[in-house]
Amino acid sequence: MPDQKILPTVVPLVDEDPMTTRPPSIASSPERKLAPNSPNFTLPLGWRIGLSALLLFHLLAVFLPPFQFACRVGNGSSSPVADGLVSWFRPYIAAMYLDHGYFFFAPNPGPTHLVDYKVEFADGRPPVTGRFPNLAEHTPRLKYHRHFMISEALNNQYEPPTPPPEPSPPALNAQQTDRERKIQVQRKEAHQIALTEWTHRRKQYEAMKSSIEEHLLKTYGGSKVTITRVEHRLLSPFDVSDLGMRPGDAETYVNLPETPVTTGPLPRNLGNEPAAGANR
Amino acid sequence: MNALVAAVLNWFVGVWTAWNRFWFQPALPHTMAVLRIFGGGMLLYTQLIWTINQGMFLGRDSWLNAQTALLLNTSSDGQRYAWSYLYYVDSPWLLSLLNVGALIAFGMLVAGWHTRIVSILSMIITLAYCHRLTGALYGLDQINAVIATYLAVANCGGVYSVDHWLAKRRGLGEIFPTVDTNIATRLLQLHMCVIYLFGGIGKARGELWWDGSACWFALACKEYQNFDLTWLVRYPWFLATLTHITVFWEMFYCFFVWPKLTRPICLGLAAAVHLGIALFLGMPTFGLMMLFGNLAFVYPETVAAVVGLKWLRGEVKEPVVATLVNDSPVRKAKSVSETTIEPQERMRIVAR
Repeated sequence: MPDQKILPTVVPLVDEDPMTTRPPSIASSPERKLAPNSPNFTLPLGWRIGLSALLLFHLLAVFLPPFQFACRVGNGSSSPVADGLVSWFRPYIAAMYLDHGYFFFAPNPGPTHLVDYKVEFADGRPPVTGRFPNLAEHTPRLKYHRHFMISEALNNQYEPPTPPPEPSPPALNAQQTDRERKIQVQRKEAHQIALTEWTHRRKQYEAMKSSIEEHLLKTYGGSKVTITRVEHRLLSPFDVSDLGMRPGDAETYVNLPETPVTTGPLPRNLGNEPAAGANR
Repeated sequence: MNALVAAVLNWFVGVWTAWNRFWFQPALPHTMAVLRIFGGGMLLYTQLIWTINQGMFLGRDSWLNAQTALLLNTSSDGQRYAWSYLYYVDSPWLLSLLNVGALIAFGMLVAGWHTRIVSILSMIITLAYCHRLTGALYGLDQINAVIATYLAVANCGGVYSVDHWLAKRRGLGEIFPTVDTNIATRLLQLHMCVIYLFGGIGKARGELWWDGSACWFALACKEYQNFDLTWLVRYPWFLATLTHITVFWEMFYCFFVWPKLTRPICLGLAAAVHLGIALFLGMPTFGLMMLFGNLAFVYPETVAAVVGLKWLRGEVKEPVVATLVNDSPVRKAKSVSETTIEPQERMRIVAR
């Protein structure tokens, strides 16, 4: 019997260790007494070693994605340790749907995002307009939340149509030090990575947008559809208590342009971090 | 030097012993069986919503069609590991068949009929739907997948199931603790700790969770509201208290949920937070499923006593909470049963 071999060799070492905090009475603990009656109390050592390796692997796959997510900071930088480890576990993490940050309502509860649509018809019928998610239309609540997440996902996936700007080259007549040349090369490499990411994310965004448009056209039988991302801004306590505003007031809804008005960096919540409640 | 080597070796032996005790000590199936019923029920409900709205979410002209889902699950280097058989199905009839099949599998899981097979099948189905429906998912689907995965590991049909009822009719209805149930319970416990730890770390990075206004912004968000709670603006102290408690509870859950003294507080706060999310933030499914996940920290003997109403009939002399005396599932069996049953019979008390 494997359990009879293992228990006497492992446990007494702990009991005899003067540094252990475990009371000596463990030798007569209910666990020990119950052991022979429990058919699976001890697996063979080989099984336990094999299972331990699998458990460690799985636990790392559980821990690493949120760790990597937490290591990302606002300027796009992240930990090479987290990125490297996650890349090793990528197939398992993706297959087991473990790639989440668990940043529920974090780092801050942010504005929510909706989608307005307008479907037009070739036969002259008046256009159909609407917005999703729509609590009145989408019941039960879970169905509403599915629509809510689609509108949030579209916004999270948004990439502006223009690629990230190339790093400015040094002036032709400038005398560069080795350090400056190195920095320039690093900037070019970083730009190449950013360009690849932008191309991929933009393709994903366009596919999402096009799929949503096709769904609306099929649903209503229209000939043309226009969708607009809408941001619903949150009211501060001051807005409500002193200005008397309500969460559904028209001025709290802002249409988001497909092409950014300014050429500055993207707002922090776009692309990098999830909005309130939406998570990865 | 020899003493140092011996001390280090002893430490490793101690760690290995504790590791074995933590993972490979058998556990009774009651907690995972109740989780199978509640969690399986949620999987069934989730699937019901997908099935009723099949054309909207899974069909050829769904909001996010299969090609889009494939692209969303492909990384920029062209790799894709998020498999799903649903990527390749767009026939409405075949989709209906698969949806009904999934409903039957989840129904069988709840009932505990051929549990070992349907629990593995349920995990595969849950993961396949999660991958296909990328873009329409949220926290509910994450915790659905977590619970479905660990139910597939556990002997979750060992009790409160058709399987157990049929076994009893054949005279084989004894309930034994098993290692797989313990492993599944431990994995779920640790997964819950990871979820809360990073939920807390994420919040700790935001300013609104420190100035006490985050709960206000969550409650005042129209898209999440079940009820208009903006009148709470008159009670900033209350909102700030909720905010601070939430951050500290999430951050330190992974430490305080283990000791016997703090576990009830931790689980009590979990119940309050998740019922709050269910009632006031428009996510009853997510709130309840997270609450079910916390069941992993309730001892099987406690579950057995509560389900069997033994505490009402006075068969358990200790109060239910007193069974949370240490972290050993087998030792728990003693604390409940020693009042009425001989040691050899301890494992069977919960079968009644």
